[in-house]
Amino acid sequence: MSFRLLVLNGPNLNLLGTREPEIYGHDTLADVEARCHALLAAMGGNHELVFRQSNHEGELVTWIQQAIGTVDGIMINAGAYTHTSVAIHDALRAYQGQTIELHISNPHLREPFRHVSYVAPAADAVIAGLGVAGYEHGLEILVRKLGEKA
Amino acid sequence: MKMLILNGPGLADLSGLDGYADITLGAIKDACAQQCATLGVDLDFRHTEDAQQIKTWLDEDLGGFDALVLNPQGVAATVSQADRRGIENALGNRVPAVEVHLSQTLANALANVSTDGAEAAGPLRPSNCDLGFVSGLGINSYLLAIKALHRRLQPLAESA
Repeated sequence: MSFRLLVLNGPNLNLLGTREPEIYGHDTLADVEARCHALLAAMGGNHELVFRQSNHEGELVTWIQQAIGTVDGIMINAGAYTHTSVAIHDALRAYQGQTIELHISNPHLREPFRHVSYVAPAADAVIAGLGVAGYEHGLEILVRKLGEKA
Repeated sequence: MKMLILNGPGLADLSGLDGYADITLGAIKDACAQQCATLGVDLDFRHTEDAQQIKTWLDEDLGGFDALVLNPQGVAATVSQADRRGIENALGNRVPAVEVHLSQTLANALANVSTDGAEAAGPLRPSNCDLGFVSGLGINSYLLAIKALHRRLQPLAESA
């Protein structure tokens, strides 16, 4: 069984590795993407992964809309849009596949304005505060959950 | 590597938990034990329906462990703010930890925020604590937490 997977990254995640490394670590987003592809290759199953990043809310919304009916599972780190974007919330509501909300740090331990998530009510699961390793953990569990439902 | 898994109030009977009614605490314990055995982790798996007992375990026993997995279930939702603060304080400046939940506890996250911004419920917010958060994956919430903590601590264990 092979699955079509989409990992979406929101604003400022293109700066991963250089932006506040004490919070987000030294790995770049390209490093993370490479490890995600390596993980899926090691898991077998010929899964298809599309890994994207945008600083633009509308572009993220478009990508979620394009996933409807074409992608089996989405893992989304919406960055700061997590705490503001009703548009991303609505797009995820329209998406029927499995959705995992992901954060590198734990937003609940940070500033109060990061405590609210507009993504979480539209997600099946939330993973936060596990560092960039959360991407691999989340992807692995997403494949496993899709396999259980298949 | 020694790992402590604490389960709080509300987990003795999961039959009313929507989507997870077929899961038992015994099944969770067995799955965690298997995961820890695979990774070579020594596991101490505990449960209490008394929120203050969690604080006692954290205060008295956590120092003997390398990592913590905590399902505060009823603490996050129903127990008094004093008990909640007590547990958050007991977590501060201790071992790496992950808060886990079987269900997606943030599904109604927007409803947890009142108009004045105060948050009455929701995830634990200890200060100065390396705390991750996993919810909505059923038993896999625990297994992911164990694996993540093991991966995080493994380089330290190898260099010790």
